[in-house]
Amino acid sequence: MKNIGKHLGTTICLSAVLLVCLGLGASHVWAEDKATVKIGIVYSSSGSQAHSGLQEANVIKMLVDEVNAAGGVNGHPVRAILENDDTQTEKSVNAAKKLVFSNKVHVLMGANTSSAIKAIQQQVTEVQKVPYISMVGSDPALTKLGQQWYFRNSLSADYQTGSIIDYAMNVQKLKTFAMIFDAASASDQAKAFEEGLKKAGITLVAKGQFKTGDTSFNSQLLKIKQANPDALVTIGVAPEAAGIAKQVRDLGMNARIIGLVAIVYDEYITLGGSAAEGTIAASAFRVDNPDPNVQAFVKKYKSKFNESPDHAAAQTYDALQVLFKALRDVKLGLTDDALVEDRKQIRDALTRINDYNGVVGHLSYGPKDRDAYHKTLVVEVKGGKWTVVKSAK
Amino acid sequence: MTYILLGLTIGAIYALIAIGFSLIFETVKLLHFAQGELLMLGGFVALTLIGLFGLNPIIVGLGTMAAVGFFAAFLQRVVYQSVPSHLIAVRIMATLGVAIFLRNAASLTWGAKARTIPEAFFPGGPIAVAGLIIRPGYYWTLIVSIAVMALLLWFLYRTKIGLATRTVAYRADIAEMMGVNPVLLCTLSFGIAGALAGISGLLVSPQTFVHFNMGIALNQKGFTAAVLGGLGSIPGGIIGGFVLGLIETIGGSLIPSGYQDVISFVILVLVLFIRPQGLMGQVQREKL
Amino acid sequence: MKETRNRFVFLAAVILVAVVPLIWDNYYFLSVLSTTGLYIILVTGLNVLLGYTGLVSLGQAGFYAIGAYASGILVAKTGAPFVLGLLLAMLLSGVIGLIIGLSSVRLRGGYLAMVTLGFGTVVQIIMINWDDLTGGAEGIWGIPPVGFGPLKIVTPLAWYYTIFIIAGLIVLLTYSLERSRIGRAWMALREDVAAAQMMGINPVHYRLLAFVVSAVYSGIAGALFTHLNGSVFPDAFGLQTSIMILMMLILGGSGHILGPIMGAAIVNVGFEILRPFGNYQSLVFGFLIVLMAVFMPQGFMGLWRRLAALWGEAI
Repeated sequence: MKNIGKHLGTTICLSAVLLVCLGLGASHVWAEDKATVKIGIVYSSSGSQAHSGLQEANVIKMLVDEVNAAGGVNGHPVRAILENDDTQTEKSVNAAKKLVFSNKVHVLMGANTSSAIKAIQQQVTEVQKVPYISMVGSDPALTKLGQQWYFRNSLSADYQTGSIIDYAMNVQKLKTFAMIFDAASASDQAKAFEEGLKKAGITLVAKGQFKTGDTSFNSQLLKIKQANPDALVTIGVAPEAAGIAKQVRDLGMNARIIGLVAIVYDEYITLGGSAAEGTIAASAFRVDNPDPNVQAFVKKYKSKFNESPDHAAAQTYDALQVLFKALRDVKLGLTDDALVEDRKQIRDALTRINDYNGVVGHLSYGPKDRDAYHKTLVVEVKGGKWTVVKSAK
Repeated sequence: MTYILLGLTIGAIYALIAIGFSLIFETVKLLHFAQGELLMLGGFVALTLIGLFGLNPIIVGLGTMAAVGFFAAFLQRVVYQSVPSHLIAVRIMATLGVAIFLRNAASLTWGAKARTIPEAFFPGGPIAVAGLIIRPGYYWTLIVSIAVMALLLWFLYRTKIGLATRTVAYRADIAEMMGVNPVLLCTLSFGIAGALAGISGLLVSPQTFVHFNMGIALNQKGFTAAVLGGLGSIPGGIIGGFVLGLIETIGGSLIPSGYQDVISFVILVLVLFIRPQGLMGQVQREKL
Repeated sequence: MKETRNRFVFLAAVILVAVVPLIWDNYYFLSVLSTTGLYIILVTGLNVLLGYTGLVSLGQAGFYAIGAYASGILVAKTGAPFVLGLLLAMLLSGVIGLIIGLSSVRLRGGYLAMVTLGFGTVVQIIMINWDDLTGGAEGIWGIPPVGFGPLKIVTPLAWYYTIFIIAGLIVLLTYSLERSRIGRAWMALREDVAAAQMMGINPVHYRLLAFVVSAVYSGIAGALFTHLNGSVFPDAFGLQTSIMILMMLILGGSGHILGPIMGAAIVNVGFEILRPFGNYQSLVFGFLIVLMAVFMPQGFMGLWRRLAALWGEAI
């Protein structure tokens, strides 16, 4: 008697699992939109990159609402489908797969870490031939491996290093350099910087590493102090960089702190306090750019979201505007059968974007060049604010 | 000399966390993997209070302790108490679930950006010693950790309630026979540990900044320090914290950087194998 | 009677696994199922340690990583066939499992949990820092497709079947272990070490065996992970993964052979189902874990057993 119970019950259990699976499959298929342009976005709304992920999501929602209010793209409504990846590469790939296979998006955007972007490229977009635009991500390899469907709407580390090294050596006359970098998330940037220095004939006098989330850098900094460098290159994100700046000054080191785009956020200054003063960094977007377009964007963002937009927001803004432009230039079928052709057309249209004047700067894509921006500014923390000390040429 | 000073400043932070772990472990027999998240909560609550009341150390400090203390007591009474104590794995899972929940709740409530408590909050100014600048945050952490240790020891060993708490930890059934309510005391202990975590979060924020992920690293270091000093021993927590800080700072300069965290793991393993009761603890029992 | 019931269940499961992807051959869906298959292997490994032998491990991701990198590095650098990669993964993780298992000789419960947690973390740190061997934080990419001889496993469907066939074999193996002398020894050690010793069971031997078995399973899952993705990177092997494995085991039902399957299915599919919650996805997830810990500490299989017992009494 008892066995029949278990017997039956196990069947019910397994059927339940089956039903759940079917339900999962079904729920993603019935959401068919007719004649809508679908943009899929993978972003970090939780996890370590949430600060940039959330800004991206803000801009996307803002712009998509605007475009739809004005009648859509060529009369077609636009739908943005956002998926969280918790800043974990495996989840980013899963989210991308869901968007591409279940939601059948026409374009994919996002991911907030270079490794997630790379994973998505390799496992989803390059294989499935889906145009893919990322709004952050500085690993040079993202555009150097013959990618055919990817567009980088941010500054590659390769471009960032040239300007800043030049400025450090020739304007500030810094001679000896040490580096401390985030081995867990920024080793590509560190490598690019080191190579940039080598090209200029400089070898690092000391090198230290940490990982994202560390808050104490004393042992690395003590070692670096012994080498007495003129400059300390800090490669990582703003909170760790700010912590390093504070500890550098507390240890009595006078080295000039140099960073890349990743630290150019207000956070760096708020967290670093007086220690942040004098830091120089490579940058792309300037919040105080007097250009009326930029100010309009900044004002719009501030009034809607109560905070100043940073790189992630600005680069997302440009990326979407450029995407809309490309979408307007093509005739899309917007049916399931036309999906492959639509995606190809969008990708081709994107490669024709030339000298678009965005809020970050001028951006171009070509059939071979998948980097949007090439020019870097140099900024310095002066009086508690990031100020431009050298413009992009 | 520099190394020692630096080791002690970071050690003070570890010590504060370790005391919290040890206290909870000693009284409730729980490895609280969400302790770091309580610190995070303390940091954020402090920021909110500063927003409301300005840079008033007394109000903000007490308010933070009260808020996190009550929350922790609530956690114990409602969540942890409900899981049978012999199911170790399930209890661990419960704490991990709480940690995930708190992290995400913090990110949604207070935003995803890292923040810090203004320097001006801490009375006193920076001290310059041996070529180093020691900021008020650090020496206050040091002062408070020692004060807390003294207070806790007084409470546990010199008051009736403290005695009752220790009895509950030792044998809850005996305590009950003596007319003590174990559930109430466990809740109280957790509340105290929570208050401690709250004030710790406030103190360590100049060093670690306040953001929703800060608990993860703190958990790990705090644990190691607590085990090193002897899990369950309050003075052990302090000593363990300082020793860990020193070993990390001095040892870290000797090995290739990047492998620093390996030091704390190696220490953990060595301690657990050679002297599982830590530096100050009593001989460990067979089963937890 | 039990035999027939179990055979029936097994057959039903095989049919289910074989048929489901043919109904929905959506690649995303297959991907979620394949990941579930990997977790079934991983959680079965933890089940051997925790469910049968009562040893808490928070470091399963460490063995997972070792297996993944071992196979990945071998195939990427020498073009060796899949089988060799798999064997190396099993060997390496097994040996390390033995070493870590030695800690269980002296430590129990929470202390063992801490050591294994540290182990998992250290493995990840080594993977990130040992650039030359592991490719550092970026990992190894572009690993050539693998298979058996000329037959390469390339399509998502092929991988789905490969993973589930291996998972099925592992579950079968574990089931027979469970019912053998070894399984009984493990469970005796879980319940009462002193009594077990008096029965002549050597705790050290059996605990080490549990660790080795568990580590080898995880190593296999690792190798599958690497070749499923064609790449391996440290991101996937952090504390979060170890915690997920523990969660799946407890939710599914620790100590029951079907526990890992239920747990892996529920958590993996469940997390994806929570997507509509958007920003709140992880929050709800954490909350559900706490709920499960409080209300269903025996997991689904535990709940299941109670219901079945009630039904049995009712009849």
